Amino acid sequence: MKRRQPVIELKNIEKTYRTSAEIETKALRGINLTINEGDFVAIMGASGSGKSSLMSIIGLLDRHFEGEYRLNGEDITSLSDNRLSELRSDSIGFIFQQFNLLKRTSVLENVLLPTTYKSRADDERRALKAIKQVGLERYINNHTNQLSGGQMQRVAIARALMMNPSILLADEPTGNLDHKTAHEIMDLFTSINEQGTTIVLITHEDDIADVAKQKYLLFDGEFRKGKE
Amino acid sequence: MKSTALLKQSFKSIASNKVRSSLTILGVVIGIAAVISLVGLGKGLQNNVTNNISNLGTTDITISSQDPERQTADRESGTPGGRPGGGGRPGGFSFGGGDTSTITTAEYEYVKEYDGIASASPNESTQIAVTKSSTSDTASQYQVYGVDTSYIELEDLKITSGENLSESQVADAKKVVMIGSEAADELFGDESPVGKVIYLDDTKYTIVGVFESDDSQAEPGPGGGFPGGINRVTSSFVTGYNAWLNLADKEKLSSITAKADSEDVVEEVATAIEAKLYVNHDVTEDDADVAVSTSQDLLSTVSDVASGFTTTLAGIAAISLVVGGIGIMNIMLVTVTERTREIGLRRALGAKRRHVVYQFLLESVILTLIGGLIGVALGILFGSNATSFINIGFGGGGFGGSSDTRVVIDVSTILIAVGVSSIIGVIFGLFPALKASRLDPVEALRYE
Repeated sequence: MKRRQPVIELKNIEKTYRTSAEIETKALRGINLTINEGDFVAIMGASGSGKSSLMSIIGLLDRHFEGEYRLNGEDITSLSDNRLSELRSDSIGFIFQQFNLLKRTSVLENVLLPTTYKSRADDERRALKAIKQVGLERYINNHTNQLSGGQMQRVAIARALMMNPSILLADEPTGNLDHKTAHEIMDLFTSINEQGTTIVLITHEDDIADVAKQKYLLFDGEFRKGKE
Repeated sequence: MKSTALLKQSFKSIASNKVRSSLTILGVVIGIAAVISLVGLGKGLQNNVTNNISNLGTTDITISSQDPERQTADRESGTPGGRPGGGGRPGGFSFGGGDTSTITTAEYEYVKEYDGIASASPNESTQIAVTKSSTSDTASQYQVYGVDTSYIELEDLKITSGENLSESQVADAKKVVMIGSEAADELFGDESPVGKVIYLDDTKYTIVGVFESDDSQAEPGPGGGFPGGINRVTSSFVTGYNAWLNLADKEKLSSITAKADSEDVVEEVATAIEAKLYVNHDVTEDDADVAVSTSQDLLSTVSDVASGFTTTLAGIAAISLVVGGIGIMNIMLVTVTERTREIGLRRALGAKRRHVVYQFLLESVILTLIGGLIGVALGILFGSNATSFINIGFGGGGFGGSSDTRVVIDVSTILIAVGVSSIIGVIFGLFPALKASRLDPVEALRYE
């Protein structure tokens, strides 16, 4: 069997917030984590456990941390802000709890948003493919404010898939959805993962995390226990 | 980066806040419209004044007495005016008729006979009490001019009854006067004043003729002063300069108006006469008590003043443009704050800092450009309306001319206005745009 390549390698990651000269808060304490190509990982934890800090680091949004982070084998700790932007565009698809869609803008335009910064010849074709993949082909020209919560999250997923990233990073993607819709979205994630896309899911809900193949529990900035 | 996509997104963002965007644009519209219309107006007035001065005659030479101390003070304070090398005050707006009288009648004769001078006349005036009889208790004050026979022709006046002063009447200081048509109406009504007697400061004078201004031309005021206002020449008296000197109890003249044979010799003649007068008076340019100026001198001085006036108007209008720019900055700062999460999202989707700067700059430039274009249109509209206002205000012959003031808005003004509005967009949009680009993506995404 072919050995799967590591996509994310975190070694001894520490993150400290300094609220004043005297007060320091450690959000992450020596995190070690390797996520391989095709993995579907859930990172769980209560509020304040360090989930969001870890998500920001993995998503290349925060580079003020200690430790070593390799993304697809590339050490990102010394990269410039511009290079990190390029890597985000190429390798990471973000999905947020609040969907973060542009209002009064069509589904297609929202999905095409990442191409504003990195355009390819077949942008529109790929956007249509992504929209089809999330099952919204009937709503292509609808404005996002005409859609339900579940549909809006599907638009966000299509937008994340648009640049064909190696990782989908989903931060509480079902936090604003009802139980039924949440499970429909998780089914969609499962199907996307089955097509080979690595997914890192951050959630505090057990039943949502159960959909993932691996689960990690963050407690006070450390992994308490992991199970496959 | 896909510029068309960004442009579309910018327009969409501006359109999503219609009222706010319109008010912001209005600030720029007012600024640009003010610049366009006021600069156009200034240029129009400049053209009007210079054209009218050119119409007054390019062969005119004015010789005026002046106070040497004041002349030096003017020079030190940098007051514009005077012919290069001449150092004189422009005769057209001469104040030389005041207490300073330094030109002798012999010098006037010299000027009159000078080769290259077509005609000349002293141009003296003073207020004199005029009565119709020696016993009258009530006297009216009239302006009385002391001139030579050529004055009527020099000032484009025409004699309607009686006749002009004769050479001998002027030379011998005969007590004869001509009366302006308005003064004749006031004093004699329907009666013909010719041959009648009038008392100037209780001295008996005989009226020999009636004159009025030639309506086909604007009425140039005595001494080249502002016509159409006070001291209209038609409500005054004109006598020979020798008689006038007796009447005013003076020995010397303060001002001479002359015309050169042709435009080609004006400067040469003026320079030669000035040199001669300097020698006579034993003065130099620095302490000159007499100045010789031509209408060219006046033209360049007035042109300088008008151009300064235009610049001042532009400066005032520019203040409103700056206020409009501050409005842009204010609204862009609000936009950046409101769209913090969107900025975070765009950064997460791969936008570099410069992409964010570019996007917000683009929005502010679009706002100012729209404002600039509407402002140009309104500026032209205001400018043309201001034209009718000004023509009513100053009257057709306001500055001695018969032509209307036309607001001058040329392509360069429009291009500058559009360029300036774009630059304002960049300048006032830069700070908010930089602020947006410096947002921490993590913080921006969490912003509520």
